[in-house]
Amino acid sequence: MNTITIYQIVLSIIAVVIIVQRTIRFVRREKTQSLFKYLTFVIIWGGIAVVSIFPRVAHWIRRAFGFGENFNTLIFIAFVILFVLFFRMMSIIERIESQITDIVRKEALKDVHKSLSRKKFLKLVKKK
Amino acid sequence: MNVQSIFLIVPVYNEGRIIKSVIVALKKTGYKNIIVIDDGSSDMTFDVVKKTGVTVLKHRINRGKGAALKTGMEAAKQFHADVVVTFDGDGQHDPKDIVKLIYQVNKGYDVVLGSRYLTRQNIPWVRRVANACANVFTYLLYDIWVTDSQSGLRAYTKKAFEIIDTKSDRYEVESEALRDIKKYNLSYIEVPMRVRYTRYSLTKTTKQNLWSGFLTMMRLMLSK
Repeated sequence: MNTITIYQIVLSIIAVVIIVQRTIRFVRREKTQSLFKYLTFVIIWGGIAVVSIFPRVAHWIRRAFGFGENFNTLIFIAFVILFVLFFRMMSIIERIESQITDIVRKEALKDVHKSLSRKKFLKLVKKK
Repeated sequence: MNVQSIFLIVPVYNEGRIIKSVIVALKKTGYKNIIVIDDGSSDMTFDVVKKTGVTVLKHRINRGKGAALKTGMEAAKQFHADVVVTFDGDGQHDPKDIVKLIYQVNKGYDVVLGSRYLTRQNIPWVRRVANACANVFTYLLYDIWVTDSQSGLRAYTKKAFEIIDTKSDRYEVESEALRDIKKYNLSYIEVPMRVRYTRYSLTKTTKQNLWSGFLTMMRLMLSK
């Protein structure tokens, strides 16, 4: 009987959590959760879950392509780690970029009323 | 619709050579409320715009078209605008098309989208292919089909621009706006618009090309 290793458990838990989370967001019809995007996540993380729970799938693939077993496993784990790190970094960069834009916008809008002539501004406000 | 409550938003980045003629042409249409957002230009754009007498806001550093449009929208909200029209600052759009947009707004549409592909026009094939890809991609992501998902000439009523909340700083903002149109069930229509591809507009390095189009797609895919 095959023994289940820790990395198999951890990977499958992460994959299941992400799929469940995405499914909930998709069912709730949260913004930007399109079918295309949802299926992309399910296929990627579903694939990771299947390979970690049923490593034989990887063996079949290995046999088909003729790769070495242990080295292949290491590369697979490295890819998963890099994948997670990449998304984490992307998310951090996006957040910082968004904060920079907010600061730049606030500064641009600080003197917005000065850019209109006083007469024109009073006319616009009075209209309301 | 009172002309006084219609605001034109023109995002610009290093358009010092052409922006004056764009503003002069816009003024001739009779819409006097023009807000130009200088998105961190390193040339004389800001000074040129200031001399024309229109409202000009300056981003201290370049943040992208999406960020500039959002700044313009925020300013329009502060001026109690009823309708905002977004208009590219590179001279590609024809100011005469604005009246077509306003006509549809008066008919009750929340958003009016200019489209380059509703009439036969001389458009470079690379642009056609890139736009077709963007249309398909926008449809797959957001389930909304339009013939010109990247058009910069659009009119938004108060209801629309107060509800639409774009997060993107760059070109993907056009697709993001379509996402919110679908999400909030805003009524919309496409109207044909003329586009003028000059040597100037085609050689600008900041314009969308196939690579930046690919990056835009990736950002849309990874957006929250």
